Amino acid sequence: MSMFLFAAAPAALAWSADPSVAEHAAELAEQGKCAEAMPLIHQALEEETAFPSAELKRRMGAAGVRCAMILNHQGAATTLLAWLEEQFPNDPEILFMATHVYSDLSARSSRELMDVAPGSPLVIEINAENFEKQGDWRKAIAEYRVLLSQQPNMPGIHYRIGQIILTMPATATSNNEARKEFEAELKVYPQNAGAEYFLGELDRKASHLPEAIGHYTNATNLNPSFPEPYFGLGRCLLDSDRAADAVGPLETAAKLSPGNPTIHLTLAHAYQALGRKDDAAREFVLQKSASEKIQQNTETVKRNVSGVPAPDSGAK
Amino acid sequence: MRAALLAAGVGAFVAGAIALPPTQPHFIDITARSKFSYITDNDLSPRKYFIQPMAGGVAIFDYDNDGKMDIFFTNGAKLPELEKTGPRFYNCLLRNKGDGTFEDVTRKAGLAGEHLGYNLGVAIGDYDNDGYEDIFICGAGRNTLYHNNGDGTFTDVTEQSGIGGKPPGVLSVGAAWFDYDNDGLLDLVVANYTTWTPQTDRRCSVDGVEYYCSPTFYPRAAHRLYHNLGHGRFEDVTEKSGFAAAPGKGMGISIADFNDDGHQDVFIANDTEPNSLFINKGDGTFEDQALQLGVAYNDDAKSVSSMGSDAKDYDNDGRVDILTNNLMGQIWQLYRNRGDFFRYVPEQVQLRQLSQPLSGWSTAFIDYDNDGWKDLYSANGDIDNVKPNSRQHDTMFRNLGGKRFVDVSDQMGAGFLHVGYQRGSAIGDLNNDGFEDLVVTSLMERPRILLNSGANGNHWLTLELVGRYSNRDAIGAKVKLTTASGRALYNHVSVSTGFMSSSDKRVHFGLGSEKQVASIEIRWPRGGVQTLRDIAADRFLKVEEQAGH
Repeated sequence: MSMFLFAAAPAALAWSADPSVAEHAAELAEQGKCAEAMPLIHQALEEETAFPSAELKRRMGAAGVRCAMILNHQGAATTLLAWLEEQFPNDPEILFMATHVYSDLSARSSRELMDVAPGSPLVIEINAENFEKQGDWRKAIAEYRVLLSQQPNMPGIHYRIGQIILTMPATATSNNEARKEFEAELKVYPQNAGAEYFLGELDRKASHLPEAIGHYTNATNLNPSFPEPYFGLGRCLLDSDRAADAVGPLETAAKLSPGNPTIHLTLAHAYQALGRKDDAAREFVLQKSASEKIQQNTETVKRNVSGVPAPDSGAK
Repeated sequence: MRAALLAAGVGAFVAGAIALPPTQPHFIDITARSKFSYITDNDLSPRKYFIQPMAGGVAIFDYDNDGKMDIFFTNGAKLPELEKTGPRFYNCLLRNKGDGTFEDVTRKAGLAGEHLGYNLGVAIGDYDNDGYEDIFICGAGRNTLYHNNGDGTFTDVTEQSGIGGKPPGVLSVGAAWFDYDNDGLLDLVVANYTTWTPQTDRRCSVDGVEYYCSPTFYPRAAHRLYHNLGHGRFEDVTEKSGFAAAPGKGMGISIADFNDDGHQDVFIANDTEPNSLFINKGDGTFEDQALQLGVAYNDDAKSVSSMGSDAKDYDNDGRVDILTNNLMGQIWQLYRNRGDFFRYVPEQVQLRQLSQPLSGWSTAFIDYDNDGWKDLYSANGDIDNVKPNSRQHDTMFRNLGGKRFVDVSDQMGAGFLHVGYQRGSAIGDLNNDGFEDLVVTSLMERPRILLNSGANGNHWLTLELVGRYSNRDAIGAKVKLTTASGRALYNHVSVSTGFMSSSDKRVHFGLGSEKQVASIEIRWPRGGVQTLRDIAADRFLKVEEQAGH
């Protein structure tokens, strides 16, 4: 597997099918002897038959990712991680590791950006994004405004501000404020499908269905692989008593986003309105299973991650 | 057509002396004028039993047929004994004296419930058509049916009625009377929540401090349907009616003919489970079509903590809509009836921003200002005291033309804005002035009797319908009122409103500035239609069902 291109790979040991190479590589990496381990890892990966067990493969791969990060071999880390994800799909530990690696790489890159271009508007943007990630909406908006004062026509910034406004607790004026941002965005960047989509949402929620239909349609034209505008379009057409017209966009939305129960529910209603009972029944089943899956996952996360202890954990 | 003008105006009520601009009715707490000892007692203690956040059902009804609305409250019990170990847990009946005060007649009426357990919801209905309203009480442990003897006393007829049976440990929260087979006899639906006893209570705590466990730790239970066989006997038809096929965690119950096919349907708000909408197929069976009709979930296809519910036509389009409230962080669910299915419309009517900070329990559509648009009342207060804003006040969201709601709570008066853990609430015209009043319970406090100051110059009309072929309470009768200017308003007879509560059965219409009604069309549950014409506003009309209609 010559795809593993380690930037700092020194001359490797002679190839060996001996599984002890992988074992040895893993041990070295786990001991923090990364410089010695990486060439061996590279070598071991060249021949998968060298792995006597999946466990050793996982162990060595994971240790290799950690070493690559320590040595700041970013390309090696991401490539090795991609290999692990391919070898162990849907593996919680690998996904957990990926979360940390990408987060770490993101932090390193932003630090590097600040080092090499401290006066760049991109630094301001990164700063704003960090505030946004922290949920500090007001500071994020303020930072984006600074950016706009320097570069009024920078695409994507009005859009971000609009999104933040909609994320914040709703006020009597927030929808109008968000609308202004999305409209400003489209003036500087008319190709922004997201801005068209959110304008559609605002109009739909204000019961301005013809206007919403226009915005959703624009969004689908700008980005045909974006499921939400198809869904919004279908909803509005259905609410305008145009069930026959609604089916197409809703079917597209369901195809693009099969795990979204609300899309299946709305599509079922559209079929129902057209008398297509069998199609409606199928969508209701899909809606129910998707909804139950979300519900179960939410409950599990609540119990296991959010600090909600299992019942009877307290004193009797 | 026979329409009798009621002479039941109770002019002696003094609605308070606060002078207000004529455009803004508000509520005045008159509770202190009356002597009674009832407080809603859930036996609050550091030991948190699952049942404790629920207590304090309310009913507004005229138990002695004197034309004045009386009030009944349910109460909790000692835990874990689950017994009313003393007067602090007794239920309470207050007789309306007509002078702005209420008299505690609980003992005389035989309604203290000394031998009952922890009581929750209350449902009022004249199940034997003898002209006197009877009482059904839900609870942990036994449910109870009281027959109104017509002399100011009640008799516990649970055993002989056949209505008391339910699987052991089933927790019954709410109930509603309705005539599902249109045989003229009121049947009963009971919203069950789970199987729970103090012995099976789960415990949740952080650092040794208990809090109420999530409902998700408890199983669902089947809601129950009892068919009225006549002569005071009921048959449990839960299985054969189809109710058993759709268990839930039942809270509020709303009765209406949602699909306008002449048969009464049942909506049940389920806590953390999909809501249920039992569509009456007209052959003695029901099918839960909540999912198909779009009322099972919110807009994200998720179930929420549905609490109270009401079903009325908020946008005056002739179709019955559904409202349920829920806990803070969620969005109260308003489902607009399109005719073929319901659309989830909280965003469109501004309910998202209005409701998200609130934990609502009981709720109701109430046209508090008689402008002809049903406004939205909610009794609020979180489950527990774990959040800084757990104690909350009631809210009134004014309906602006059926298009959106605005928060007018801060104009509703100091009594309305009482902060606490509100639970049950009922709507009714306690002083017969044509403006709807409120009665609200709060955990570990006296209830509030909130009189609507009215007097904004708007007109009204209230109908008392008496079934002769249909059930005597006329529950399920639909009324279309057309004003002289051609404005059409809709309502129906339904007493099951909100959470654990039962409201005034009279059908109220706010008429705005109009003094004259062109026509009133009444569609009785058994199918007859009566039309009254050219009626002056600001009056109570008693209308009896006529033969041949």
